[in-house]
Amino acid sequence: MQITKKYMKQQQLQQKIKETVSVLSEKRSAIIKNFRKKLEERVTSDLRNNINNSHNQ
Amino acid sequence: MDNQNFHQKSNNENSGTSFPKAVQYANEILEGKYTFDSLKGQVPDSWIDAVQTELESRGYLVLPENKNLENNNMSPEKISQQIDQARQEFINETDKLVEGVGNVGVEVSPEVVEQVKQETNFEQDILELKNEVETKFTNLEHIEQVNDKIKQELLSKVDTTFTTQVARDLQRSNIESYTGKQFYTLALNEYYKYLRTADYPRDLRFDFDIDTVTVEPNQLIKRVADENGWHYRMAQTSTSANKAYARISLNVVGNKKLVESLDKIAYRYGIYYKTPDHSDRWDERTDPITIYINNPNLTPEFIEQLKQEIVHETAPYIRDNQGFGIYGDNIATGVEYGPENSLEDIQKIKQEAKGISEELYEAVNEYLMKDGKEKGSVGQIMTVKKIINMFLNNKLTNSKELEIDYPLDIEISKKEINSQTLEQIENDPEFQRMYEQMVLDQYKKDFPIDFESTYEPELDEELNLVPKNKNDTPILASMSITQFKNTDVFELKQKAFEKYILSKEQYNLDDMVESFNDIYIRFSRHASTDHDKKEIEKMAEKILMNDPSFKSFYDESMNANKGQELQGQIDAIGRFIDRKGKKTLGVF
Repeated sequence: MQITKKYMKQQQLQQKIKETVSVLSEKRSAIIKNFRKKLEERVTSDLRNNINNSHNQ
Repeated sequence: MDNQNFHQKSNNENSGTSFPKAVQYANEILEGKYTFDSLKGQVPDSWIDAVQTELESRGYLVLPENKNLENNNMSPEKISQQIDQARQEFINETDKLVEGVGNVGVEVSPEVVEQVKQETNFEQDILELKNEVETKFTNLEHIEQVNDKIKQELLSKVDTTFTTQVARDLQRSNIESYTGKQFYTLALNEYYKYLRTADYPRDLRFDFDIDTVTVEPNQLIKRVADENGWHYRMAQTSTSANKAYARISLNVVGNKKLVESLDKIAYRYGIYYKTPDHSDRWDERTDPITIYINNPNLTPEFIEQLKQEIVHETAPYIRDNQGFGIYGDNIATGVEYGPENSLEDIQKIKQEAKGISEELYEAVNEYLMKDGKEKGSVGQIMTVKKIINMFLNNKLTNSKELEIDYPLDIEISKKEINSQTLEQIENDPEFQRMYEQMVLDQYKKDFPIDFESTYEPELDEELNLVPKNKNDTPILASMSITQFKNTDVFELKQKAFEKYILSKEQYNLDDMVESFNDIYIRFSRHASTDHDKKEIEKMAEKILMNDPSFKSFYDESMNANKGQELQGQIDAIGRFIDRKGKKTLGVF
């Protein structure tokens, strides 16, 4: 029986890889954004506390 | 000869054209003097068509050449390499981002970064992301495997049918020479199978790893005995010192929540139950679960309450009532309650068997014996009872008068078939006829159309579906792209394949597979513009999704991958249609 394995075309593969990376990047970006937001909030509030503390002193 | 352009289908020498020049060119192409494509521009277009017709009449396929496409094809190794590279790049990039994530423009102490990481579940999220990276990229590689799997599905289906048929025939001839006792033993085993075994399809309620739960004890279940293919789940409140006096059988699907509910019930009532020890076996029995009522302190009121509770709790998981309604009390669909059998029951039924004949008694005696002890399940006793009743009610006098009217499914190894009879059977004209019929039946089953009523000779003529002679595969080449688009392609494919099957004197799988591909290639030849190619791609997808064997495989893949993006896979398969030459032969 003559059945030759089907090969995938270069551009199809690249398109698929691109789509996959794009979905994953979005998720990664959300995780990092969330962390940074929280970290910035924390830094700001620490700074504010420090200032308040030094005023009080 | 350019092998990429031509693919010989048969040795038919009949000429397809009366154009002598075309015959000459065709001969020279086949001799390898030049290629079909090199004729283009050198001779009038009408000559090229005539050469093509000539070649096709001799059973060759003429396929459009596209160098560009060839260059774009990638070997599986190359695909893996590219996917690996992309995966690694993404991981490296992620690692870098994670490393610099604490940098927000001002100095922050590592302790604070660590605290915020914990608050936001950062590490865990990144870990999950990385796992997803693995799954997603592995799925990309899986696209290639889908193709092979489809091919294997078709091959194995025919192979299984073939082997089963041979095994059954062999068994039938063996049975002719059975002694009375041997025949009773056979009938006992077969009737038992008929009563208890099943082959249920899996649905969404089924948990594929159910056996990992049933094997584990927990705070309600003190131990699980893994014996004879079952997981016996003994509640903390129960003891094996008490023998079961009643039982409830369930025809249910394997589900973890169901096991959870039954654990609670077993604990509350101080009883135990059994489940299959392997996920697959849930589908193979009509009664995968038996609940043993062995708590001597349960009053009739409690037992009634237990029955109601079980009916209520198991309702979402019930399959049907198959195998039930014969023994005990069929209290709800798929739920049966009845007394557990005793040694006295076994001895009594043996005496009843003796009343019928000494041979039945001997067979039953062996049947209800385990490790030298008299032992038998409720199902086994029911089976013996059934045979006794058949004798009493139908006034039978001989074991061979027992009807075994369902398929005999007795294990015969391929080795046995090969060494003894396979060759002999294969050469038997009667068997060949039967095998051909079987292939045709299988085909009709897989591609259900009303063969008689859809037969329209005029349409066949118009579409050139009628083979030019008996050995030819159907030719669709004369169809224009407009005709092609206006026709129900799936129906066409069926018609073409049906024609092919009917035109053959002998069938074999290789020919069937080739014929499928042949038809697809011929369709694809009409795709001259990108727009047409897209149209054909769409139709290819339609064909595939209408094709039951592909559809079931696709659905199975969807289930197995739990909704992950498989559309890409089907897209990729759909695109086989614009492949060049033999590379088109990807789908089957």
